Amino acid sequence: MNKFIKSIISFLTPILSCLFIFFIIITVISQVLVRESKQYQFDKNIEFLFLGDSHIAHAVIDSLIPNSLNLSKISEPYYYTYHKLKFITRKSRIKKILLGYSYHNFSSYYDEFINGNLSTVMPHKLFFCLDFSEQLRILNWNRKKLLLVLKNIFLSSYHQFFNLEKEKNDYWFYDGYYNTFVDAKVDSINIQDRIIFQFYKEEKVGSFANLNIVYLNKIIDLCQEKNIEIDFIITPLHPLYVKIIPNIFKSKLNEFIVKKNMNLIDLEDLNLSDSCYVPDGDHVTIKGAEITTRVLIRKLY
Amino acid sequence: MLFNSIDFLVFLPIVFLLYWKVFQKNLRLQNALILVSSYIFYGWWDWRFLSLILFSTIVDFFIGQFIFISESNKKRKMLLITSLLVNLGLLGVFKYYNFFLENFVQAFSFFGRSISFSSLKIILPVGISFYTFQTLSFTIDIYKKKIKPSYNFLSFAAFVSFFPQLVAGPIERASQLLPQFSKSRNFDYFKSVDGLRQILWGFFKKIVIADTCATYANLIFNNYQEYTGLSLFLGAIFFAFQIYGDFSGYSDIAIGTSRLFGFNLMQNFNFPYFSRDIAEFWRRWHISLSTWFRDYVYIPLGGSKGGNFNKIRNVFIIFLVSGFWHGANWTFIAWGALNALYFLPIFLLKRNRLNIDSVALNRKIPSFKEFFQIMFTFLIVVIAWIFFRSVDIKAALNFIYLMFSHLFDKSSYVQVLDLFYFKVEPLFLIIFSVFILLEWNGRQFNYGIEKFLYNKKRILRLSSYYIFLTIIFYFLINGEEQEFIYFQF
Repeated sequence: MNKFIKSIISFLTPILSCLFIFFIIITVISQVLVRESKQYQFDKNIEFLFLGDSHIAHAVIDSLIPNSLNLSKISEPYYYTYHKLKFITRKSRIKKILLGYSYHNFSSYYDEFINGNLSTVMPHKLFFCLDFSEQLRILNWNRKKLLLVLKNIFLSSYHQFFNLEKEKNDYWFYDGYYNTFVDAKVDSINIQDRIIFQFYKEEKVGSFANLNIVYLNKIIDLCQEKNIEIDFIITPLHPLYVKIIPNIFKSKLNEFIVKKNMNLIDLEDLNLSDSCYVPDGDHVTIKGAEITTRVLIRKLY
Repeated sequence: MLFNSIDFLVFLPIVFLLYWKVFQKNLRLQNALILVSSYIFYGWWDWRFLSLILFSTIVDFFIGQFIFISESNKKRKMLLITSLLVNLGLLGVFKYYNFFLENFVQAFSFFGRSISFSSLKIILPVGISFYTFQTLSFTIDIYKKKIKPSYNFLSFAAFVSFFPQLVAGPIERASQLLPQFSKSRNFDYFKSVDGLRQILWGFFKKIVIADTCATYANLIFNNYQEYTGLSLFLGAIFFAFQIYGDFSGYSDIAIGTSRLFGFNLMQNFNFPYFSRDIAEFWRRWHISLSTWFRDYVYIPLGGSKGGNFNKIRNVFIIFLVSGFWHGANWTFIAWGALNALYFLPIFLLKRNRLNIDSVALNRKIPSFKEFFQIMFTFLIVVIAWIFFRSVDIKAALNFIYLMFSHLFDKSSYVQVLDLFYFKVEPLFLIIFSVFILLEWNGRQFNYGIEKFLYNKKRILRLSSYYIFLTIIFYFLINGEEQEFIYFQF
């Protein structure tokens, strides 16, 4: 028995050593190198910070808004937004954050991005913003796809350290303003598919994103604690999209605002033309983004 | 818990060390550990269904004893029927209820009567077909007076739920596996090393071969209308290797894991794609299920005795039941029927036992005749797999029609070249070729690499294991993880 265990250990030692070195490299990279890279350095004059998911990434052109920075990331649930904010507030003094807020954020499919079927989408992108305990937590959530996640973390560290913008969406911790839709037009079938994907599960209306809501509350608490102003923004949504959102999500969104007494910049009904929306009806095109940003500037100043 | 999961990577060493280090001298404790570990292993997927295993265990434990002590044949028969009803009843409810209901409704609507039943949303408990058959063999063998019942509940419960083979076999016979739970087990270094080697080979087959082939097979089967001729045939070949790598890989991991705990399980796959005729294929494919049906269905029906009508009937029954065992879908029944049609001619001509030994025994390469026999057998097996893989009979027939009607079209060759050029990784083709060579080289043994580099220096063997591990890790990172196919059965 002992001989067998010794043989196993001696066989596995080179492999375990490689893994150990890999983890050391990752830790060193994450703690020292990546966090010191250019993309983690923020201008000290930044007053407004835009956070959220693809709604913000597609709609807010931060280069048009003085002293603002769009740090949103496509598909980013509030769990990651919370940790991103926590990380940023350690390095910079932010006066106000404007947080993307919409119906889909309350749907359980958004929890899938945290610890469900879609959980491999985000970890590597925001891995280096997380505390060590959270890093372990997301590795545990993704233990079934651990090797894939570790590979992506490794690739992310490389892309982040060298600030490689070419595959920014895949590897950076933020996308910023990102919109490639020029000649798009809203499409009713696409909207229906989108609604089913976001709000339905097995042909029934899905449940709420409990975990995402927990972290939305935590974001509010963190802002209070750090004395940061926080406003929610609902970016423009196509009327057909809004019309077929299940009512429970509409009520939930409104209840939350009232309960928490939050400021809301509601751009949902901007009366944009169809060409200002991408086919799914819940994102805007470049043209839509320009209009949205102009309206936003008026509201902010 | 899946074998190819981190959970199992943690679970196995813990159970192994407890088993040999802490409980080594106490058989009862070792069996208790196996039982608890097996329940954890199964409950990791869904703990609620542990109650089904426990129920099945209790029923068969006591029925087995009652059958044994009963002197009246009528009573013995009643008890056996009770066991069959309970076990097959559970299987029927969980696996076949919706199938029968849907077909019942369709049959009525065919005659102009429309009835509406709402089907239940039933989750199929993982491995139910495997452990049900295993416990059935126990009561049937006691009824046939082949074995004595177990009076040790712990041993029996551990036998029913033995985690390495609980969810996807091999389906062990009570006469073979149950006695091993009553004998003291001593650690055997060489057996354990052999077990690890077989586990390594199982992972290689599953992660490198099956999961990669699955990507290509899914691409072609899910969009079969876009492909023609040879490219569809290629898709079917990919599926043939997917299912072989997946299922025989699982069996290898199960057998290897059992060896780590001092148990011997039966060989479940004996290089079936090197078979020279369909009868040989069925002696080498999913051996534990084939022999189960042979012993408990085919022989009781009369086997090959009697006239041609009886022989044909029995062959069809065993193949159709075997198909139906795989799932509640007409595609599996069609797959079984097609295999029966393949088998019947050589069976009726009494040529079904021509090829018993391994092909090209004591030779490095097969003769031309053997080569063409292997190719022909593989071809017909691949055609049958199309039914197995397709979503319904119509899709399978369309697939076959598109495959044969455009087999020699120029566009079909272009598609194949396109597939190989853009979709199939050259690295995989190299590894796949090496895999076939290793399987061929090891065809006289229990698994492909059992005696690989056996008489060579240790450093060479170890290096080969590192290479296998590296390839497995590479495909694990870059490939798409797939569940074991046979879990659904």
